[in-house]
Amino acid sequence: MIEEKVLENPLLEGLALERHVDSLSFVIFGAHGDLTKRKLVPAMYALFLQGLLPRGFVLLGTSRTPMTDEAFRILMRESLIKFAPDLPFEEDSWTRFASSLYYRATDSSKPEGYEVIKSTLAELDSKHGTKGRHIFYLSTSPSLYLPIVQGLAASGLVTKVKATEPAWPRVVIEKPFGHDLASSIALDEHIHEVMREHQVYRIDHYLGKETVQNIMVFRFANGIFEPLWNRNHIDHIQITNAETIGVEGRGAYYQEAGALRDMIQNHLLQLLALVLMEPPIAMDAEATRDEKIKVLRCLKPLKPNTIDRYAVRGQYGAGFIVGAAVPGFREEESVAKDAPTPTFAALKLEVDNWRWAGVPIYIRSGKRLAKSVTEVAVHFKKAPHRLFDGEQSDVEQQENVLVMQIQPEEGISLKFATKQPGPTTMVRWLNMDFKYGTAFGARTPTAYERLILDCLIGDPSLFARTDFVEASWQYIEPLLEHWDNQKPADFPNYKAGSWGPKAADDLIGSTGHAWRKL
Amino acid sequence: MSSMPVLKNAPDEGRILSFLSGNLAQVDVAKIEKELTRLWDSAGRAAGDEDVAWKPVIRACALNMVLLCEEENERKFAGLLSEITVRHPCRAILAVIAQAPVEKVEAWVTAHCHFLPGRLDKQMCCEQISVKWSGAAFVSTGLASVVTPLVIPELPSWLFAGSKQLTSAVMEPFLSYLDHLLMDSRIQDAGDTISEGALAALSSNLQIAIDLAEHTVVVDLAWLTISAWRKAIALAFDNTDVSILPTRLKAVKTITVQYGGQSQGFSQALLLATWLTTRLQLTPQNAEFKEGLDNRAELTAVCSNKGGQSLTVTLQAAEDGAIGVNGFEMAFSDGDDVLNVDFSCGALKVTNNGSEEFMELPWSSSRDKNGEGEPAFTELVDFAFEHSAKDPIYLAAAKSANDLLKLINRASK
Repeated sequence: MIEEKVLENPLLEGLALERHVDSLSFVIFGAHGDLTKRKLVPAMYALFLQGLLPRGFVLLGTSRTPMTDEAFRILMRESLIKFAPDLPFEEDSWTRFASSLYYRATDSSKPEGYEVIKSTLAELDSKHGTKGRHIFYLSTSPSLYLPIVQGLAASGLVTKVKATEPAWPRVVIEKPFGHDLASSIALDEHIHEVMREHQVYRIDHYLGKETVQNIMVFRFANGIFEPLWNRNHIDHIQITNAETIGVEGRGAYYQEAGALRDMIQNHLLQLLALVLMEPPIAMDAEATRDEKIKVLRCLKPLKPNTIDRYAVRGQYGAGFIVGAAVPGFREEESVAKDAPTPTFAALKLEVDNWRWAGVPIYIRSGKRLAKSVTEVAVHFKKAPHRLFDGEQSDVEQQENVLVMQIQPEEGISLKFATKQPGPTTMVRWLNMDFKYGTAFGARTPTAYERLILDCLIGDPSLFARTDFVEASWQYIEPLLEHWDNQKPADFPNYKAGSWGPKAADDLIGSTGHAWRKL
Repeated sequence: MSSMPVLKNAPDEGRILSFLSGNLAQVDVAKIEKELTRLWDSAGRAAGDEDVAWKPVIRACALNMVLLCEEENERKFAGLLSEITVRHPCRAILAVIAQAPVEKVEAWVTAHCHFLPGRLDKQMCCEQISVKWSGAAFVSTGLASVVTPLVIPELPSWLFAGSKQLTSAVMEPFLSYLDHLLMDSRIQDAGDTISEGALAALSSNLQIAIDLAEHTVVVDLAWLTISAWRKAIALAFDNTDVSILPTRLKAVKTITVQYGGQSQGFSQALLLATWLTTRLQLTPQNAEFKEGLDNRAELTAVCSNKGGQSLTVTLQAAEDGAIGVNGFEMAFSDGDDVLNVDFSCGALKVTNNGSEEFMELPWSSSRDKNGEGEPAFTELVDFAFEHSAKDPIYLAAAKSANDLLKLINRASK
């Protein structure tokens, strides 16, 4: 399409307009919510300032809260100033952007609500030249996903197009996509009754992070690492997602979700797939997603009789975080006093394929841990011969570790051995560090900026495909069932501010490894 | 900064503190690297000590930036380098050309440090090396022989040509080691009228870009300043939105570019005009420079192509206009409508036939100044680093601009 335009219009050549967005309307359900204020509208405004939004553009917000267009604009303006201080705010620019913002109060459980949206979109299509192209972003409680999709379909706002036709309209769905395998499949079936897969964008904001995208660049643009990226050279891999925060007012949601559903089923399995997948045959959406799903299909299924050897759960009790006393999970607001919810989970995964057979992959995720850090650490095998570990050295044999740090400081480091200066051959282990913040001074776009732009363009590469979501639920389903059936007797079993339950250390220790000290 | 503490086992603490504070320390030209290593080493060793006045530092370097300038501009360009290091960690090398009766080479080192966002416990520092070559006549290879060994291998390297004395021959000894040339073809003299000398300087700058572009990636800041204008004009013919049909490009009859800042804004206006003519395969046939309305300089040129299209280009100096391109107007032979692009409310406003559209400017500094100023130097550098590939569109525009300037020269003689 762009090539055609370049041929027709020679002025476009060399202008880097590859990421062209057609005119469209973007409808947000749950427009009065936190996500809209903190992430979605700031991301949209950032795209607008970069000239990445089309001239014909409408952002229509909707929720139950009654509000005029003007009140919505004022609310979004205040949110933008509050939550996106890194964006240059200028009144004229904002006024032009705000002229595309509209709001309608609707009840998404009633057909009338969709009629209001439909008539408003028809009016705005005509006013802004958005040509009937619509994207619906479901920033609501997960329980509303299905009613909204069905309401959109019943009103004719969403229709199923052929797989070969452009994907209009599109629906963006926030995680969690289902509560378990059955509900995920059921949700998908209902969605696929009214839309084709290429119209569905399941958003996982982790995939929009620069460092996560950099995993592929790091692996496949550097010739030196990929030859080592297999069972012959890698000993094991650790993926850590540690948070110091608790449930932060989301007690009711988290009590139902827990660590497995909140982090592991989506974010961490996506990370795992990027780290373990084979090189895709091309950099297009389907080729990459085809390789990612293969990784999940190779995961050795968890069996009820051996599950305790592969998984550990934990729940935090009261403790201290950076010197401040914090309550235990069961003392949090909206959480039951006997809640069995795991706020920590550690897994040992095995991948049954040619590349990774015999390489254990450890994943841990928890709340109220000692430090906030998300990283992937690839531990290489130790040197085969201990040439330098003679009597003169008191340093134990270590291994090279490549760390891809996702947050808080995005970067990559490589641990390597070097000779300590001096008359004897003493080995010192050092880190060679690269930090995004120190190498690239320019502002880094937020994950939502990248993902929303991709959705506007129609590039689903960084969105979860239905088979990946299903396979990820399939993998953790036995664990969910097992833990549901066997209520924990020892909860809470770790103190806030620690690194999780001792059982997690035993889990990794059983194969002679240890969690990284972060 | 607190008063100078006494550092145990570190007699040169004052020197390190001075180095990390951005003060220049003279070093032996033959021992620049050695001295830098010593200073960083001392800074690193002492940083954990409670007694010292500085926080731990990270020595960061993602590229090499060599800036070549004359002595009178040394302070200005040192400031620019300092700004660049905040956004792009680099080894900054300031190569200064000075006039002196006796030939000599001197060197200084310093560091530019700033706290990382949200962190007050660590500073990120970039090193700056200043090398001054003094002599009666400038010997490019002499200065290059000191500067080029200081370039850190395997990292992208840029030469920013800030000197007036530049010729291809002056830069070639540097460019045999450096991958990219950052230049600014904008006329720097803020004269009320455009002198022949200014036009000759512009022609010379463009010729350097053309000559060197064969072997080096050349990025012209003047070209970057008009990128938003090019985009706004190009998108006016983008047939996916409400706009002019691209087929009407064959019917473009006249274009008028208004520029501010007299001679300072002329080069951008010229490049914008020749970008358009080269995209339409038009070549300049004749050109004339004259005094227009209110004694303001006006260039008129006629360009044509093999398809029989003839286009009159007019570059007009705007009264009290902001430096750079101020306005653009295009008329067609197949209709009375006019395409207009100008600044309005911090953006570019595109109008045609009663419809209007706005295009946000990519420069946040311009946005702050209501869109009527030039983008800040640091923003242009950011932009340059992002677009560091050979640009045949620029090269074509630069060649055409130079051809047009030669036609003026011929006409005036």
